[in-house]
Amino acid sequence: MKYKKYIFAVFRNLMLLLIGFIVVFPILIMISNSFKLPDDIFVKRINLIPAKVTVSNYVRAWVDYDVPTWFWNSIGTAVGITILQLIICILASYSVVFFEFKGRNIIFSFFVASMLVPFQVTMIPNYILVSKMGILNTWTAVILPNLANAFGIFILRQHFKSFPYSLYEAAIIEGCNSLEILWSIVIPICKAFIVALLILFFIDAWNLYFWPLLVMRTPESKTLSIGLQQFIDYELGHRWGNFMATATLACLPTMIIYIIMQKQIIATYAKSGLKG
Amino acid sequence: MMKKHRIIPYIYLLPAIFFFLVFKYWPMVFGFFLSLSKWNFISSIQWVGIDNYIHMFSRSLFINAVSNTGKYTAILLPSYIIIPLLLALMILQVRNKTLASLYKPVIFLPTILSFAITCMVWMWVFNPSFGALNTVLSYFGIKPIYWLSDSKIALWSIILVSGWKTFGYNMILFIAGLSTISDELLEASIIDGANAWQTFWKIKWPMLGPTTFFILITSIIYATDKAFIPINVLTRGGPHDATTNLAHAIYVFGFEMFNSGIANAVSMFTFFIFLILTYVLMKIIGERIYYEV
Repeated sequence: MKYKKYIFAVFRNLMLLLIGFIVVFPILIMISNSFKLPDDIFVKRINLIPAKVTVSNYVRAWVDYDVPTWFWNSIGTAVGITILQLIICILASYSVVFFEFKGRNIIFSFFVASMLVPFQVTMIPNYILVSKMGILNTWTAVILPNLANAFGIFILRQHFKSFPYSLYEAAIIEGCNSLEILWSIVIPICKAFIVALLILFFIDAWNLYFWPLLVMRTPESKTLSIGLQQFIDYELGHRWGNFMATATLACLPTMIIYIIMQKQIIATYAKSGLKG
Repeated sequence: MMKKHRIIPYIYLLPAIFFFLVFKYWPMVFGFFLSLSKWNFISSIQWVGIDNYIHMFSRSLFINAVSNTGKYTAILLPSYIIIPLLLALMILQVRNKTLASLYKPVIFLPTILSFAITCMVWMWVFNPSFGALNTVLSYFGIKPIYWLSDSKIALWSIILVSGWKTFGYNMILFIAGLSTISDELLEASIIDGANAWQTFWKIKWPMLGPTTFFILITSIIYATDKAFIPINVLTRGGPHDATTNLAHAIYVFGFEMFNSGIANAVSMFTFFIFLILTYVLMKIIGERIYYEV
C-alpha cells in the first residue's frame, strides 16, 4: 500500500517536471538563441547552451533597427494605459461602493455589460473614430480605447465592498471630504491590492497586440509586439538572431516583475476568475 | 446610514462613463449602421440595407471562418477544462514543498508574456528545417512535418500554441476553486467511506461549477476573438483559410480588402452568435451551479 503511494508520487512529479519543461522550453530557446551566432542557430540539433556566447544580436538589433523607438513606444503606451485605467477604475468603483445615489446599479450594470462586447465588434468603428480624431500613429490612439476597463471596475468594487465601513464613517465625522477620504484612507488601506491590480494592468497593456497593430502603422510608431514581426517576415528576410534578442528584451520587464512578485500576481489572476 | 448624495458620485463616475460611451457603446451602434451600408473607408457611405448580411454567406472566407471557429470551440472547450483540471489536481497532491512551489509559477509563466511575441518564438519551434519539434521527431526517424503550411495540420498547431498559452491560467483558476472547498466537507466524505473518485464527482466537481462556467465563456471568447493573435502571427489565416477565425476574417475584410460593410456585418454576426451561446450556456449550466454565498 505504502509502496504504491510512493510510485504514484514519483510518477506524478516526473510528469509535472516534464510538462513544466515543455512549457518553459520556447522561452529557453528564445533566450539561448539570442546569444548564439547564426551558424549556431541554424542547426538541426537541440542545443540550449550556445557554443559561443555573443551579444552581437542585441547590439545589432539595438543599433541597426528601430528597437529603441519600439521600446519607448511600448513603455509610453503601457504606462499611460496603466495609470489612467487605474485612476478611472478607482474613481468609478469608489463612487459605486461608498455613495448612495439614483441609478447606481444601472450605471454599474452599464459598465459590466460591456464585458459581453467582443473586441472585434468595436474595432473598426473605433479605428474610424481614432483616424477621424487625427491621432493615428500616436500613443493617444493606443491609450484612449483601452480606458474603458469593465474588469477593473468590477474587481475593485468587489474589494472595496469589504472595506471597514466604520472607518469611512469616522472620517466623515472628522469632517474629511470624499476626495480626502479616498486619497488618505481608502487607497492606503487597499494599497496591496491596488499595486497587484496595477501590475496586472501593466502586463496586459505591455502585451497588447491587436489594437496597436491597427493604429500604429508607421515604422516610428510601432510597439515591440508589432515591430518584432518585421524580423521574421518572409519578404524582408528572416533575422532570427536579432529577433530572439529583441524578443528577450521585450519579455524582460514582465518577467522581472513576475519573478519578484510571482505569488501576488498569481493570486490576483486567480481572483479574476472568481466572478461567479 | 449612508447619506444621499446629489452630484459628487456622478463626478467620480464621469470619466468612466465617458470612455465606455465613446469607445464601447457608440462603436456598437456605429458598427451596426456600417453593417447596413457600403463603404471603402474613402468614398461616401452608401446605404444598402441587409445586403452585406446576404453577401457574406457567399464569401468563402466567412464560411471558413465560421467553420474553423466552430472547430476551435469544439476542441478547445473540453481541453481547456480537462487538462488544466488534471494539472490542478496533480499539483495539489504534491507533498514536496520545493517542487510544489516550482510547478505553479512555471506552468503559469506563458500567461504573463506577450502572446504575440511568444507566438513568433513558436514560429521558430515549428520551423520545418531547424525547429525543435521536427528535430525531436527526427530522432525517432519521423519525416519533417510542415506544421504551419500543411492545411491539415496548421489548425492543430494553432490549438497547440493556444493550449500552451492558456492551460496555466485555467489551472490557477481550478486550484483557486479547489482550495475554497472546506476541509471538513472533504473529511466528512472520507469518513463516510467515499473513495477519491466519488469525492471528486460528488463534491469537488459540483463545487467547481462557477470556475468551469467562467472557463467555458472565456474559451468561446478565445476561439472567436483571442485566437486572432496566433492565427495572424503564425499563419495569417492560411493556408487557404484553413486556420482563419471570425476575428481574423473581420480583420481581413476590413483592413486588407477595405470592405467596411461586410467586415461590420461579420462583427455583428459574431456578436449575435456569442450572445446566444452565452445565453444557452447560462440556461444549461448556470442554473445548476452551486454558488457559495
